[in-house]
Amino acid sequence: MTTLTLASLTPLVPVLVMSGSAVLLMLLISFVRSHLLTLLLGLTAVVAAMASMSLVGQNLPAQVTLLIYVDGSTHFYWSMILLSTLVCIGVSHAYVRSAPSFREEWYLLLLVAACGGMVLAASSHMAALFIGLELMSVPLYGLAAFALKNKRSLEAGIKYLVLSATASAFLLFGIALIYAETGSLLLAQWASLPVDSSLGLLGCAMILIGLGFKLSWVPFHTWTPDVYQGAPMPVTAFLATASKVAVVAVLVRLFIQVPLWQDNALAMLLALVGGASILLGNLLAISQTSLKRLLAYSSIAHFGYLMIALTIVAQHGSRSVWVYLATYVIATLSAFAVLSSLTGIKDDTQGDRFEALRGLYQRNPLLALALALSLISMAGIPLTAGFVGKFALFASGVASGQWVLLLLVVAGSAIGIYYYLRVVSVLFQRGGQTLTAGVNVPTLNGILIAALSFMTLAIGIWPDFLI
Amino acid sequence: MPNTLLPWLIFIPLLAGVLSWLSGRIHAQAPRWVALAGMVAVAVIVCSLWPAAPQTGWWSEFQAPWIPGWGISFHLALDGLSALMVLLAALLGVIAVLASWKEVQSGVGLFHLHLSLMLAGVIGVFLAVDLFLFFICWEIMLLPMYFLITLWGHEAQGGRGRFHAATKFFIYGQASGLLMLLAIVGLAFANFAATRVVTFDYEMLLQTQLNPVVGFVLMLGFFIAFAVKLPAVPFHGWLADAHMHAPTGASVDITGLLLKTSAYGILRFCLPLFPEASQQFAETAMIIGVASVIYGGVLAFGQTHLKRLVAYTSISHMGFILIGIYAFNAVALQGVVVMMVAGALSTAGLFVLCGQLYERLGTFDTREMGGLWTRLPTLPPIVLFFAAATLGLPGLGNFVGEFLVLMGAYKVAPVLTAISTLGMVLAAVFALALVHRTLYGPATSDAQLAAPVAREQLVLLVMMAGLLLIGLYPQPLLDASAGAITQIQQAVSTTTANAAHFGG
Repeated sequence: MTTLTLASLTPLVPVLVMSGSAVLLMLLISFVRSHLLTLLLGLTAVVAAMASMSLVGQNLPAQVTLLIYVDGSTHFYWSMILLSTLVCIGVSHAYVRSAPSFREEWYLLLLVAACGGMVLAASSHMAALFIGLELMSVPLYGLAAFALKNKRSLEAGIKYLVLSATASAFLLFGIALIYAETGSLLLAQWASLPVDSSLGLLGCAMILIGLGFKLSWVPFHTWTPDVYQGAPMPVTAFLATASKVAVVAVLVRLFIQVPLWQDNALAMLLALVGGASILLGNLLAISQTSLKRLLAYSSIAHFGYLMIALTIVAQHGSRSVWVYLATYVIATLSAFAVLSSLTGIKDDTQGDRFEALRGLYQRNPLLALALALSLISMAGIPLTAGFVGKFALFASGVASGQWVLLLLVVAGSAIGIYYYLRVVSVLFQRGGQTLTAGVNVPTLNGILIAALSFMTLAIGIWPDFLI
Repeated sequence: MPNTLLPWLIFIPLLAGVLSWLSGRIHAQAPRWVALAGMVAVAVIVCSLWPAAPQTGWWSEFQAPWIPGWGISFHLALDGLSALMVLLAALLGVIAVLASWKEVQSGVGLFHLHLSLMLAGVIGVFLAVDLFLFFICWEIMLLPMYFLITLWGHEAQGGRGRFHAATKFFIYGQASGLLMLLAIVGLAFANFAATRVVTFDYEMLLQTQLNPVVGFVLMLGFFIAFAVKLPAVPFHGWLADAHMHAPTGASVDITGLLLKTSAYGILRFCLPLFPEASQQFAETAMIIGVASVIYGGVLAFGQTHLKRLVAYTSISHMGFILIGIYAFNAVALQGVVVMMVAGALSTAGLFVLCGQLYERLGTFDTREMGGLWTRLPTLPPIVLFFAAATLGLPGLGNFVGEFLVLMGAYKVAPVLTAISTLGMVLAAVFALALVHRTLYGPATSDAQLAAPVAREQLVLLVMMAGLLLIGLYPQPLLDASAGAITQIQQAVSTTTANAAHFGG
């Protein structure tokens, strides 16, 4: 038993900064209700957490109590989560301005969710894993239903709540099964799980269901389009990025630490899930007329693609997962940042249809170019980040000989071209609707969009620093 | 010679594209001149390398580290074959700009940005000797073309819309391109497994020893990508639709450049990288070529849409190119090079004429065209000229190419070659049908049409001069590409010797 000293908590500083700020924000709200002040505090918290990561980066890897294990990869996932949170908070100011009440709580919930994601990504013990997952999910129920007057938003909140709870139940059941087999909740102890243990296999499958729900893998994807569409734009962005990054982080840890995942039946199951996600996500995206639903289905496909790199982390390392995840997160954030700039919480469903985007290039060329760039990146066209991600997947797929999945990626990308470019060409077509949205972009949104677009191009043209 | 010239061949069109986009705000016509200047500059640079060209090996080479983590470098090299192709690209770029002078009136800056970007991609394909870089350029060509078709294309009757056509074009290109990417990664991985070096460099990958099955599968990955772009018969579905909806400038570049990148790709990559597999595959490829020749010819005859007609003639031409490539002898390969250049000029000329007729008549429908000879000054004889070039009339460029290809191929596969000569007959049929339907017969109206202006004449005259020059004196063309062709031919034939040796 190690005693808890102050020094041993150092690697946890980024999480502490975030949770401390959340508490501070809550206190602030109870004294002063100021939209601008909460925004600034939120932004400062995230930036401070990012900065503190580089300060405490020397003495890694470090086990902080039994619950948390921080290493270089954790820092990568944390920075992705923090980046997503930064963008979500940044575009929120203009977005929730029109909300009738509780504007300040929005930021509180986002900070808490980010905090949960960070804990989840660093968990080395099932208690931390579960606390992190719930800490991330519970604020998101509230955020998804934030537009209280909007039926779709309420539906999204409730749907996410019910299905999340179901998924959590599966997760807990899985943890319990493996606990019964190993007698420990420590991830490190699960390595001793015997390969022929049927209880262990069942437990792993249950955990896969619980976590796969968050990644919206087929067949656990049904919530995705509805929740994406109903939830306010920045919340959808958070769901699509930070929450998925955290879950991938914990999955990677499970895959590396628990040899049982290499079992043939499980590997087959994972490949099936991945292939089905690629096919179904892409095919269902074709007929969408709502951009949010389209992005929902495309995210299903993207996490199907990721399966190629994810299942081989134990043998080939998680570099490809990181590259793919980073490129996905940046492109997705960029798309949602643009969409958030086009609408407010009151008229969210307006900016979401393709028709509203028609002729955006004439109204605001830079915004249209940024959205086009992010979609092209998601489609995986060279010289954008998305291609680098896809290339990394191809490299690990070829190295591990997953030819069927690779061919599915090729087919999926071909379908993807169709629906991504349909949106892109709408942006440039003349004859826009009466919508005036998108003429004035708030400065903060503009800076974030410019930075994300720059990252998309920079990674695409000069990927060496990423790999 | 200064090696740093090579990257400029790619950067100048890029730069010209961006500048022409920006210059659209200063003056409405400025983008055209800027884009034109960029393409002329490319041509000048290539020509400046010409006199000092060595007989064999690279004329010029440039290498800079790009993504060392994956063993990828920004590696460009130019030999006779690529120099010819780059020159052709610059020339057709100029023609595309000139042909769009009147047709494109909205978004002029953006149009020329896309045109120049595509040109940069095409030139990149011709210069890249790093497979990753090659793939990037290969894909980069697609996106600007997609926008050229969707944003400036024609809404044709009987078609399913330009968005549909452009998307079809892009999906064919992207799906086949990704197959090639898989093959590229597979090849690099095979090389890594043997040498423990991660590299995508062409010259290093040439040394890779592949097991026959793996080599064949990887070769197929490359071949399918090239066959789609060629296009060879089972993969040709996108071409006619794309042409039908594309603006003239884009049509010129699709047929003159995009299609030629695939022939170039087979010559540069498919044959030398996979010599044994290519040998095994040669007969199948030639059958595909013969099928394309016949099928393209028959379909061309049946078209009533002028641009679709020309599109199918180019399928027929590309069939000959495929036959020539897989004959593996120097004569046929030289014929392929001549056909690539001459075919690009003759088909591009026909597309320019299509555009000019459209500007006057407002239709591409040949049923509404008859009797133009009496209604229109100057252009009808030029149509006749390009039709004659397309059918392979001796004295014009295409004849030399077809003759060399057939002569070379006959030595290797007499039966297939004999069948493919049917294509020459078909070419006469569709070319004469084209002339007959548009120029002769009863006129649909008595109204006189506007005579071509100097710009329109100039464009056509340049191409006519080129075709005549190649037809009458093809030697400079043959000399320029001889070194490169010999190397490719040796790469394939030495393996034959080796294979025979191992077999015995």
